[in-house]
Amino acid sequence: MEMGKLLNVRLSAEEAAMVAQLRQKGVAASDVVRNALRAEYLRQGGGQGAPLGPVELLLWLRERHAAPAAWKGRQVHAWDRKEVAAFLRKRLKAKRKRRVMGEERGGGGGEKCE
Amino acid sequence: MIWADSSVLVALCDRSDALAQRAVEQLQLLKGRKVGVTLPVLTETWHLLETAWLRKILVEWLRGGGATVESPVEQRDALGDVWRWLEKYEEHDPDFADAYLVIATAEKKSSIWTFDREFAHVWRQLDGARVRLAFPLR
Repeated sequence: MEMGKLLNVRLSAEEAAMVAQLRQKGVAASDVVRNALRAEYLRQGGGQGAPLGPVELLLWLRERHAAPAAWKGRQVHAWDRKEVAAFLRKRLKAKRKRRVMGEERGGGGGEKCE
Repeated sequence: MIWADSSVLVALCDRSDALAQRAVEQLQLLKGRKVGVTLPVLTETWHLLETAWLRKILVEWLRGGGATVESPVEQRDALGDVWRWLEKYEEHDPDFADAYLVIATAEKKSSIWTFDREFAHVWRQLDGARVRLAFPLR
């Protein structure tokens, strides 16, 4: 890719800390900016005029965020309230258990951020 | 306002969902109508989507103006009606998100967009009226 214009962005202290943490994980701030720029450009209609409508935006997002190769599908039918309730109970119970165990270990929660 | 429930939002975001195609077709039919998402429905949907990449679709769609997140019950100071409704249907063990949606549509010109048949066959408004649905349930 031929590089042209340089974009200067003034960062707050919080944003600068984010950039530093991302760099430690091997993520370049310049790539983040380029990706965000391309995404917003496309969302706004890709230079064709009007921003994408709800349907076009959704279809575009579905394409953009393709399922990972290992994806086996969701476990629950969202239109079945009883199935949903059972799924949520199980999920929240497991979450609570992780939190209690984390506190018992003195981990201050130990809950994985989702 | 059309209030989307979690069954619809999940189908919109996950194209492997059995109702994904129908959800997109219905969204196309809603062109020009305002779609809203309540916080209880958003919380439920967040859990149901299960993975980060599906949640990204939801968040980016909402941020891009696909639908607005609102609190209609609090705005109308109608939380008391939600408690009354939950009491009325206690034997059916209803979800809070469903109670909230029904009370949100007590206002005229609003309806629920859902694939959950209970909105058509079980739930009613506090005054016994049918719940208004954006699309008939098959």
